Amino acid sequence: MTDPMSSTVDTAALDHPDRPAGNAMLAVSGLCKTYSGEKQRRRRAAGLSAVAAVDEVSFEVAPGELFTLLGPSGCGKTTTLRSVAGLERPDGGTISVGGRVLYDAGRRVNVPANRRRLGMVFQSYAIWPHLSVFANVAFPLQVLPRRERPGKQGIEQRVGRVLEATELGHLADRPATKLSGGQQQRLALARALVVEPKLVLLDEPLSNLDAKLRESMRFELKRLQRELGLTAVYVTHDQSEALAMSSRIAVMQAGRIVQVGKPRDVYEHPNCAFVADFIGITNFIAGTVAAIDGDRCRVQTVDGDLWVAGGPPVAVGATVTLSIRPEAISLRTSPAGGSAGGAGTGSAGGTAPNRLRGTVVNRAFLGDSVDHVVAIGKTELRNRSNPAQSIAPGTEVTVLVDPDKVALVPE
Amino acid sequence: MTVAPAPRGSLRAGWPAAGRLRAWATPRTLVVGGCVVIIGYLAVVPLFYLLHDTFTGPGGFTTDAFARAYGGNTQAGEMMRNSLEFAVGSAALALVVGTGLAYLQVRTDAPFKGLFFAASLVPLIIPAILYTAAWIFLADPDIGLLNNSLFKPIFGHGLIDVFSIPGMIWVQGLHLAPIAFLLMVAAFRAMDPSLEESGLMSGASRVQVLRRITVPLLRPALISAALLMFVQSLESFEVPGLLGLQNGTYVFTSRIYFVLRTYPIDFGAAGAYALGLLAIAAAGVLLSAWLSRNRRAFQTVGGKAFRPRPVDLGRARPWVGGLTIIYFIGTVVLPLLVLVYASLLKFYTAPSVQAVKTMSFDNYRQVFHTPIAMTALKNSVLLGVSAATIVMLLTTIASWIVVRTNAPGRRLLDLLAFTPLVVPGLVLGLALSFVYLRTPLPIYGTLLILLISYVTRYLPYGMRYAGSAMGQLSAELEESALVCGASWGTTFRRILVPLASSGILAGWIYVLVVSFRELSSTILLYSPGREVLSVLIWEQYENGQFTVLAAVGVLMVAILVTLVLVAYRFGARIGVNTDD
Amino acid sequence: MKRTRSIATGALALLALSGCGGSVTTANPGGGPADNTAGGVYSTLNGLPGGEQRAEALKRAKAEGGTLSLYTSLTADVADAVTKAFTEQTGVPVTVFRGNSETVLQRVLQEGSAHRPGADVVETNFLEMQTLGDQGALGDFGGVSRAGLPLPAKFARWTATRFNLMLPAWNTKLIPAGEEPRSWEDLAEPRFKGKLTLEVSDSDWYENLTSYWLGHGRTQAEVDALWKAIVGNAKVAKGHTVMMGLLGAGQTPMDAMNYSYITERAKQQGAPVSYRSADGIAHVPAFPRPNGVGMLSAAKHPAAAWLFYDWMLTDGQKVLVQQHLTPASKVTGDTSLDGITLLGYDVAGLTKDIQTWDKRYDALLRGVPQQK
Repeated sequence: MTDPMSSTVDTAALDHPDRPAGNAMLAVSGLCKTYSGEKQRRRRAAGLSAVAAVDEVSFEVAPGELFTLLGPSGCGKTTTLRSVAGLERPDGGTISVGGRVLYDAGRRVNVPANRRRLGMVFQSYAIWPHLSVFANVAFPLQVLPRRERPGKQGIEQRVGRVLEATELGHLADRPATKLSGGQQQRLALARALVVEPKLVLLDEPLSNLDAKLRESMRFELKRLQRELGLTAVYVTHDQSEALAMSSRIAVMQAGRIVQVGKPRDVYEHPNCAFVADFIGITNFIAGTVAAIDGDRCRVQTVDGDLWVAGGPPVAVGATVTLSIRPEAISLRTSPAGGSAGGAGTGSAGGTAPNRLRGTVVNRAFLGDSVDHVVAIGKTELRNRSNPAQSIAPGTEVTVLVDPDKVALVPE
Repeated sequence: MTVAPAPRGSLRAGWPAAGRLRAWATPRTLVVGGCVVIIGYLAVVPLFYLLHDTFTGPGGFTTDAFARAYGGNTQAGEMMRNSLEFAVGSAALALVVGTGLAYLQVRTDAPFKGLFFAASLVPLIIPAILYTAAWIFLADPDIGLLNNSLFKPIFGHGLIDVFSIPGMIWVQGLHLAPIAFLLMVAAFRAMDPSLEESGLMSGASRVQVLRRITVPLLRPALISAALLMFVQSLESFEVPGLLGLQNGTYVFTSRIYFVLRTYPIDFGAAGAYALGLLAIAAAGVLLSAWLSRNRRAFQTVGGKAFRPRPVDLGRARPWVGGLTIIYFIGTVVLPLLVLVYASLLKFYTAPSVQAVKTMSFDNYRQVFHTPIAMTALKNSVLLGVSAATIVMLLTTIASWIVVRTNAPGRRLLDLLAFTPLVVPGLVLGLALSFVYLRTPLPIYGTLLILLISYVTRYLPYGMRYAGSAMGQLSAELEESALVCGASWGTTFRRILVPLASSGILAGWIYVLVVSFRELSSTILLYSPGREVLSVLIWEQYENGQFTVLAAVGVLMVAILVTLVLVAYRFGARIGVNTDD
Repeated sequence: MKRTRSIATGALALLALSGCGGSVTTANPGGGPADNTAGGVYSTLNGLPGGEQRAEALKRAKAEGGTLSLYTSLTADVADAVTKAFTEQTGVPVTVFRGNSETVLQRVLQEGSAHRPGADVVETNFLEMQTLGDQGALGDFGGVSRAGLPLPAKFARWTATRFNLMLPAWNTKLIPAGEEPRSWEDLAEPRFKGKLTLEVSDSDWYENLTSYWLGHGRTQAEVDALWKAIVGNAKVAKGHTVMMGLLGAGQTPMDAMNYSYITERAKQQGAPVSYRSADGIAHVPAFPRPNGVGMLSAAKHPAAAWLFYDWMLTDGQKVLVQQHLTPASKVTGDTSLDGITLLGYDVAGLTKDIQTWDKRYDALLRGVPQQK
């Protein structure tokens, strides 16, 4: 199995087979930006230690990819995006799009924002309230240099096309302020796309929408991106959004990229506790490696032994943290098979699930699932079950975990 | 136009139905009611008496006064043309300069921002007479320093003549620019910068963004600032008085002044001129209201907080820096230097070795020995502080009513508080003397009448500051206090006012500073023993010596700058935050 | 700050409840029966033998409270010198309200009509003094010091203390010797085009000069032409003191008319200005405008007022001379009249028709075709 441990340094990511080879659409290398003096003082006063907003960030985006920068507030994702856009000036590094160098600190290259030919969707949409829907979208075409500018008819055609694609065609003459939230968001997108840019930047575009709209817009955006073959860099703090939409995700923390990978990889094989915790919910259990058997190992925890399949190589006696997703835990109420206690009697080899005994302590009905909190000895595990399976608190249960689904998180 | 629109407080249940009398006698109603009555009184009563005395003659109602004022050989048409030309020109100049500076200050990473701040505010502190006098010394066609030392050597003859309408526009425009600056800084800060950034991302050049996005979006703010500048120019009488007379340019205020000098005073004619001025100003208000009718469309303040990110000036930075310095020198340093220079001489003469030899501090000595100097200083400080306090007190309550409740008649209150803006100072002074001559209370001839004049005059400014401060507070802050059981008074005192304190303090300082230089209404209302610094200056101008006048001016600027710096230190940000 | 707020709010609340009084009163500002005391004091003092008047006045002044309130249009420095000398010599301190003559008049009248007299004694321009006298605001002075003054200085209810001499003034650097005007008519000459400055409110000079020309054989048409030419040569400024400052600075070469004492004082400071030719003679004849002193009939400190009045006509005259003013009486060491020819000054005519002349002069300056 491939090494999922993409480290903080970009070079490891370069070894990832999913890495775009050769002609990347966007290549960012060694990007740095420190806070201005005032901000530094404030951050120190607030107890935050990071001095760098962006600290040696490097990544590449292949054509047609939707690449997401994901992380909590203050992790530097927006600063990175705005540096690519040209709205902020980094302190070091290089940025190039489609082979064209936009920023190079060493060679003192810095293409101004309005000449980078990128599309950008802002968090607040930044729709111009004094213009109509049509005028908003036509604006980027109207400000093209004279030789590139299409004629009046050309503009109408292109704007019409883009409005149709974003389903705003019937609203072309309406003042931009008279649109609903979702329509405004699509208008912002239409405006970003009308010049057919090589790269589209999206800064938390869905965060202002209500939950239902957000969900449907996710699919919409993804569909549009795929259909039009757009390359996009997407910034968000919502991990479910990132998982749903991205081709690849870069998780950022304190100005650095912590892990890059496909959504599934990042989700199932987080390379550190931060990623594991940030993406989805997880159960952490500490333990010591007791035995190794091929690519499996047995980890001794305070509440029992667990077999872990896959995972990075470890030495016997090493302390490790295990991460188990709630949906990887299943519960059985019938005392079917399996002796109580003890780790998986399952023989070495095969993927017989780990078996533990526990008691349901709490449960919550979430509509599409039921979450249980199960106490196995000292540790409490959180489980997500199908709503049909609702176990009352106090019931004794058997907890089953597939060794494949137990992730070893490096310290 | 008046107070910035803001989310309404949800205190809709606060106003009891008309029938229940007892419900009306709460402390809140009394305080609020008192405030409304006072503001209404201040705004309306002077106007009423002005109207009364203009239209009343020996035989009852008459419009004769208008004939005396505008008819015959009074050249009323030319006077009106001059007034409008002057007012429009200065307003335009002030607006352009002030907006440009505000943009550079808030939106870009221009260098020398501290200098900006000083350059923008010092002209606000210097009284108009002194500013104009300094420009006379700089730009007089014969003795002007600029003409003699700069232009004559280069071009062979003087280039600029301050005694002309363009000269008047130049001086008045520069003098007003700080006010436009303050207003536009507030407007820029309230505008979502991503609107401009998206313009950049769409490929527009900076100029295109300015032209097609920034300026259209700023239109309401620009219009209301333009109105303010226009009215202030209309009512200015120092600049046209000093510069206009010499080339025969008469404006409304010069005519009012002329009419008031004769005995017996033709109050009717004076009132007729005043009403003419008012009519023009009111027309301006209507025009600006009509122009901003699509206000909603331009609402740019989003719900989320944001900080303006500066535009990188790049290569233009040194040029902007240079321009800033030139502006600073031209509008602040040069006039101040001229004043200091003049204040050290016995009589004004062009700079020369001889002149330097005669320099001394005699004029300053004379000022300190003038009996009324200390009285004037004391009165100015007393009046300034009282006026500022009362204005902010009244406007804090009034803006709370307007911004945070849906009480009936709050729009009327807003309008009332705004009205004094449109009343020129001379007119207000006139009206107040009409009113208080008849009142048995001891107001005329005391400091109180000056206080009333100042409070009336600065109500609109106080509303602006208090209103925007109130408008930024979320309704929940009040509501949570009420839910905790606090009375209205306690909530107001302990929650709202402290939270809005930064804006309130900024307004307080502003009123204090401009009250020091207020002259046009003061000159009609002061009495012996009740002189203020601006009167002292005016007296020196009319009957003393230029050089002593300059000394008084320098001292006054020094005092005010100290006051402002001290207040600034205490955390009051006069609309200019340090951006990061 | 809070206390000031509540006090101020309370005061304003009171204000809000105040009623409106009656209409503008043009009632007798002389006041009612309450000022019998002032009139009584004046009569008493007037009735004393000449040698005792001063001492009695001084005694009573101290008894009344020992202070005096003066409203005057003397320039601040002169007013200071005068009051300082008065206080030194009599021990009575003086509060001074200084304003231009119209302001002084209005102040006194307004206070009178509101029955709140602020002044005890007034010293200002003849026109205002005449008006005050006509309005009955002034008390009667019968001190012996008045007797010694020339007739033109004595008026019904007030006495002239000084004369402002109206003469042209020029900058000696810009108008070389020999080129200065030698008569009023010279001002109309083309060589002075663009070189004159006129003061915006000098309607009294306008009237006097017009009457003088008409009385010396010129027709109305000629006079009109002269004035038109003069105005054509001139620009307008406000304030004689300002004009002198600009004259000294060289901003204008000549003031068509300024007061000789103002010119003299500027000259003493070192400014290159003059109103006499190089030979020490002022070839242009001067109009002497009287300024004088009067006691208010409603004065709060009548004895002090009487004292000041008396002092101004005697010791005060010397102080005026020191300040380079022209006294009404003869004072040794006074050189202000040297080389100057005095004409008559039309007090009566101006008092009667000042408004007409104001309007005519104003219209003249604005370039409007003359009416009548």
